[in-house]
Amino acid sequence: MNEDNLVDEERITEERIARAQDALGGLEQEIGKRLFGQPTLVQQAIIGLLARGNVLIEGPPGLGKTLLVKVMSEALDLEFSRIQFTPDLMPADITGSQTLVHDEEGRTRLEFRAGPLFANMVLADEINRATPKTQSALLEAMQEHAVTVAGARRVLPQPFVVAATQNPIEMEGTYPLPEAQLDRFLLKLEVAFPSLHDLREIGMRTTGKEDVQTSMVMGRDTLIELQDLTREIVVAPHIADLAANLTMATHPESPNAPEQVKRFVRYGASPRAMQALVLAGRANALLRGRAWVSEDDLRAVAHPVLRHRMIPTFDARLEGVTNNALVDALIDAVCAPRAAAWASAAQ
Amino acid sequence: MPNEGAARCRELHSSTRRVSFAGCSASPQATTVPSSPSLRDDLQRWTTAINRKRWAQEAVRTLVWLAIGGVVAVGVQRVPLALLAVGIQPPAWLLESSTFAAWVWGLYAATATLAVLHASVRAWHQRIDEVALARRLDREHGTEDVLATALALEEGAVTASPDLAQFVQRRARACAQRVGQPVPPFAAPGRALAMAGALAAGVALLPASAESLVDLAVRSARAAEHRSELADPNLSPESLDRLARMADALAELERRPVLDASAREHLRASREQLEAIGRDQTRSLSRLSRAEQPLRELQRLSREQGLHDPQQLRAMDHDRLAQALAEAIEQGNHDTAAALAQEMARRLEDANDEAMASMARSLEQALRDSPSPQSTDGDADPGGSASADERGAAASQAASHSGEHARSERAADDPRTRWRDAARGVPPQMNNEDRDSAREALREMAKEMARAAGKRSADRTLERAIDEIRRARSEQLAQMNAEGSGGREPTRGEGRSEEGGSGSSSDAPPRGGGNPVAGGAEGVPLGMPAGKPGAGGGRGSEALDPREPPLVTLHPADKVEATPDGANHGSVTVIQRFADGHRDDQEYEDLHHEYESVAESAVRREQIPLTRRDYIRNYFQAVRPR
Repeated sequence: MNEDNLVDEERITEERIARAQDALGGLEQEIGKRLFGQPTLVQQAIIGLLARGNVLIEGPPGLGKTLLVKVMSEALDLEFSRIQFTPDLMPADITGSQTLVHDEEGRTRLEFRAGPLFANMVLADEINRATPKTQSALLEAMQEHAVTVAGARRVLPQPFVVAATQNPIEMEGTYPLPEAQLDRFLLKLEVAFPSLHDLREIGMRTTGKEDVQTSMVMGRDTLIELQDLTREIVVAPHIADLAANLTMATHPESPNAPEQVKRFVRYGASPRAMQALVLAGRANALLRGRAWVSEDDLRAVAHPVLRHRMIPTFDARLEGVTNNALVDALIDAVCAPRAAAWASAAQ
Repeated sequence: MPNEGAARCRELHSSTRRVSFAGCSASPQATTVPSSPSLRDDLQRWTTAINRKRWAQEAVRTLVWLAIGGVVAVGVQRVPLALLAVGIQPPAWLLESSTFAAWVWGLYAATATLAVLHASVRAWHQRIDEVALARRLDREHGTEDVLATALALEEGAVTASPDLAQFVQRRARACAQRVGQPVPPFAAPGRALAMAGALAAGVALLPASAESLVDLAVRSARAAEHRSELADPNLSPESLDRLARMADALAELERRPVLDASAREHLRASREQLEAIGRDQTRSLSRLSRAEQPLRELQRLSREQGLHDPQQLRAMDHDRLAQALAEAIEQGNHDTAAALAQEMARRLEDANDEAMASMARSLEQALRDSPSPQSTDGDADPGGSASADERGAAASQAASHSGEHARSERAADDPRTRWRDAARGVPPQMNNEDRDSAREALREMAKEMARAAGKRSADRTLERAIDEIRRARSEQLAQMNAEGSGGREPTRGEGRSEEGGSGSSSDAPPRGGGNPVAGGAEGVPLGMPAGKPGAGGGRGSEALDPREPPLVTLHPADKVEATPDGANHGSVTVIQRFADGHRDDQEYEDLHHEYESVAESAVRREQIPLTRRDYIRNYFQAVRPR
């Protein structure tokens, strides 16, 4: 491989990353046109998309959870479907079912009528209002991107992303997601209340006569290409170490677990959290135009990745210790000593 | 380590963000990044340099601390001398120079070993590898782990698509080339150097002390050289001959029957010391004292209870008793003969007729078997302990008479003949059952023999032995004082008379005045008759020159023995009695003489400053008997 070839190859790679950066930047901007004052939420949603992960969006009503998913699908030209989860929703209602149909000759046959899951981006709105049975119907789809109906396995269209929302306030008549299902969400995004300035902008821009339209930023193939590129992002061993240490430290019985985790966490994160950290870190690196993952990437995605994977104790609830505070403690306990060790080695 | 290269590197990375990234593909900077041979090579080179520098820093730090420790050890070793220099008497254990120095330097060696080990461990733990260096550079230059990632790719620790791997590595090399040599500057061991500086300043501020210490060291070395040369002066052949004869006399005494066991033990101890002097005169002065001590104790025992064991006397049967009495008479052991006669008289008090007849037979037999009395001059005084007056009298007596007449006249005058005749008169009285007359005759004979024993008894032998010992010791002390006043040290000059006096000498006029203990008399060589002590004086601080090596180690032979049965207590009593005003106490004189001679022996032999020697001598001068 001579110098010219190297230069050409690097140029191609740089173009790939540059295109990705352009596309992702455009997507972020496009979503930002409709969703004011939530840049972090938008970025984390894009990270979930690039990582081919499902995201759980939690926030009070009216903060744009549904809008985020809808705008994202429009910008990506993805097939979008929305499932409003209610207590009487049945699994077949979301996966689809076989229906007896008559053909033109009068013969009857069973035909599969695909449910709303058969879309590229599925919005499971207020997912915690459905029964666990229906919630569980999503498990296979979220994990394997396929559903099994009447004994037949049916693959869901690619890309496939489930974006579920839930309201943390109205808990009456809800069915909290079981840990197994929570673990299948790559990220849990929290929607913060907008600032005063953003609130004013929301009022000004969304109540006018003209409806803001969302432009398509990239196509489905481009998204898949970016998802593939995300998985090529280089992860150095020390980054993998950090991810593993972070995951391990979520377990209260771990010797490296911070005191808060030992006291307030009942169960720690599963190995899926480690995968999620690396994947989300890769996506974050690509989003920032890098071909390698840094510790900052892991720190940036640690909260959405880990916050829903740690089961707090009752003491945590009594003392008002949130999972975000626990993740902060984790980062302090795991990342700070490493940084100090490197710094001391440097002196 | 922010520098221009780092800034450019950060700029390059910021260009990978956002807006400018689209144009980066056509950026000449991206395409003209010079190719480095290997990022790993660069990192290895830097790592080696950093680790070497770190080892060097630790080595310098350790060496500085070792040097400081060495200086401190030298200083500590000189503490006893420094204490003396400021007039403080250090504890005795500090004065053992060799032991103290061994402790100091042993401690220093142990500390130095620990310091070297600590430095090695510290340097080993602080060594840096390529990954750590890459992480450090990433952190310092804000390159977001590109160097560490590229290094992992280069090492094959992680795989990636070739184009991405190449992209990452070229980015990393571009950053690395702009970083420059990331080797930190040599960090001097601040604390160690500060300590060394403080130490050096301290030394510089005390030049006089340093000079004094050097002077002390030189004197110490010289004194150590001289110490081995100092030994007790040899006794004259005449003295050795006299001591040998006294040893024989003591041996003769040891052989006497019915002698008390402790008395025999004292005689043996003294005799062995005298015989040892004949073999080796190295420590003859102390041996003389050790020979004198048991003899004095024996004298005391003799005065208090006699030297004969009453139990042994009582255990003897009539035949042995009579035989021993006859032998003692014939050999001139008057005190023994007196004791035996007294025992025989005691037995007569309770004896029945048969026993009395048996005693009479035994005595007759013993007197019949005994030879004629031997010459008075020879055998009666086996140790040659007869005084010159007696010998002179005997000689003149022998010269004034001649022939048989003279011999018979001398034999008639011989008390042994008289006592033998008297003894021969006792058995007939016993046979006649004239118990009282026989007992009275024996007691009368015992009294007369005891009176005669005043001149030729064991006590007299002991006294003569003690005199010979003191005479020999005086001879040695006189030689020592002659050497000491011979100019080796001008501060020394006092003498000590064997007769207890001392005084001033025109050769060494008194200087200063004041406490006679501190000053003392000066000038009279030992053995000279002397009057009252000098006016005192001494030489003040010059006389008590503290720079002399103060190291004292008493040889066991130089120590005055204090037996647990109260001998030491007796010494204290004698001293207290003298302090209470009994100035004519002979015991005190003897005791003083003994202690002084032992001290003189130690002073002469050990590494004691000469002025301190004066101090010791002046003390004995001050407490001498009047």
